[in-house]
Amino acid sequence: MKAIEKFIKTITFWEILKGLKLTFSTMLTKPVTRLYPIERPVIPPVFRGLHAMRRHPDGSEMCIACGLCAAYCPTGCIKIKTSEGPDHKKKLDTYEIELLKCLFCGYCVEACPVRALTMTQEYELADYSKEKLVYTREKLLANGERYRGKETHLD
Amino acid sequence: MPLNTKEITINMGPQHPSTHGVLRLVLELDGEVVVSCTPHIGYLHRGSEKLAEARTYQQIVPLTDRFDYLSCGNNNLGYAIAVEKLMGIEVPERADYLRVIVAELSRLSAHLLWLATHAADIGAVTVLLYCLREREEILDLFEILTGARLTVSYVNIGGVRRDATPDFFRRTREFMAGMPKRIEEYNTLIMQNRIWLGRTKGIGIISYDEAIDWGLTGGSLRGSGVNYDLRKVMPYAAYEKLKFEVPLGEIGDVYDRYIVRMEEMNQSIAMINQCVEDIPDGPYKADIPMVSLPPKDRVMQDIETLIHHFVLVSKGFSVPKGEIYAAAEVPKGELGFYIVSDGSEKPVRMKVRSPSFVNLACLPRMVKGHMIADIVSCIGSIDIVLGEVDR
Ligand code: SF4
Ligand code: SF4
Repeated sequence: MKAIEKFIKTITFWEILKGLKLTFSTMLTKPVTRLYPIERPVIPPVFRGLHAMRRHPDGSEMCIACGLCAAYCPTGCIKIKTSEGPDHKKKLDTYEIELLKCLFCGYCVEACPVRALTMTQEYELADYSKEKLVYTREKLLANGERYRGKETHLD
Repeated sequence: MPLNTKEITINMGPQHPSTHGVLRLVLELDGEVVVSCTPHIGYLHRGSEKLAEARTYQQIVPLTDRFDYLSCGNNNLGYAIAVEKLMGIEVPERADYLRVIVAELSRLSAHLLWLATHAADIGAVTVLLYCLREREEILDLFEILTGARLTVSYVNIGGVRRDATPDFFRRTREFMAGMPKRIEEYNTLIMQNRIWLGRTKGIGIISYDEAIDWGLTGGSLRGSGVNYDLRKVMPYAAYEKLKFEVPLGEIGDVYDRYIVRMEEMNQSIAMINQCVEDIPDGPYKADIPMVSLPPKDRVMQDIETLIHHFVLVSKGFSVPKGEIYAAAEVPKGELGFYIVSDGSEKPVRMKVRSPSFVNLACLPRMVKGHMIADIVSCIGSIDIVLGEVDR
């Protein structure tokens, strides 16, 4: 009996028929692929995407120019220049993140003591020149404005 | 006139789709039979070991992501337990469970991608599409847990970086409930398929003793029937408290290694289910001021915490003088870290014992005497990732 069953399974390509049954039944299910640029994926708020600098509700910048983010960054892609302000407080002159070197590890966000730096859900960061991928303070602040009041990746 | 026959030498790779990356094999062929095979590596060398010498212990974690980029959670864990052993730190129980969850999810996703490429190399492209469908869901889980899909950098020295939300547990439970059926589906497609059997049975046999002599680890070792799994032999994180079995093969051919890895996926699912059910409440990182960053709310309120935060971030913590070897069972085998510390904030030397590198050394032995087409199934069955081979 076993031998006959095996013989029938062999000549009818039984296992292949079983496989085909599965693939054909999958054709009737909902596709899992997405028509990407038209249908956007849902990005969770904790996503580690493009950095953003935040502002206080009164519009002043949160960053206190302490430089901890630059010190903690494993690749050293944050460049920051400071000087002494009129009230003897540290003043932020320039702030740059070189995205081409960035790992998107989120350590800079973890390091910032005042939660001035955050990471947003922006992920389409390709561009045509290296210069455009150096994100300056203005660009980061503008990105922060876009995400004002929304939940983002914070420690 | 006598036929003038001669062996020919050809190059397979570095740009060959079925060498799983940038592996170059120099083959000597007698007709279609492989006489000798020499792997050439180094196309993906980034000098991670050297780079580690210039970084603080915490900053090395993202580097370990890039060894085996398909199972980042496991690599992070291997590194973290090495440093923690050297420092004598205990991590909280919740962190241990979260570590196991992320490690087993990584293993599942790495095995899914292994199955996808292995099957596609041999000709079963449908399996590739199905596996990637499930892998995508695992990456989505990583995304809500850690914020990144691939290079998670989740396990840190002293614990993990974020706590898991109830939403993460709910989605993991849902996904795990459907997963065993998916594995059944892959098996329906290939397990009894006569082409698959013909391409994998009796190919690349490595016997029990040979497997030990070559220093194989992971699925490649257990495919030959050697019962050696670091999660059982030297338990770390929460593995001691979990119930799971170590699947073993019999003769050590490509088919056995395939069966072992398929069963490992089922075991991973069982482990994740146990973790999700049993996970205790509590802190997710060790409360050791000299190692883990303090909570943000306290930093700007309390001068001592602020000083701790500044010192930890700008200088890092120092690790006692000494050396250590610690290893974790990653999807590819035993990933070992040998770290030498001189008492400063940066390691003097970090040597990585990468399983793919050691397993790859066995490839020439496996393919000798087989057809050139069998090389593809052998490479698939030892499951290498070139990022880990070259580091
Ligand atoms: S995400 Fe990581 S690599 Fe990028 S700027 Fe922040 S710390 Fe540096
Ligand atoms: S972003 Fe944060 S860590 Fe960086 S300089 Fe400003 S306050 Fe300091």
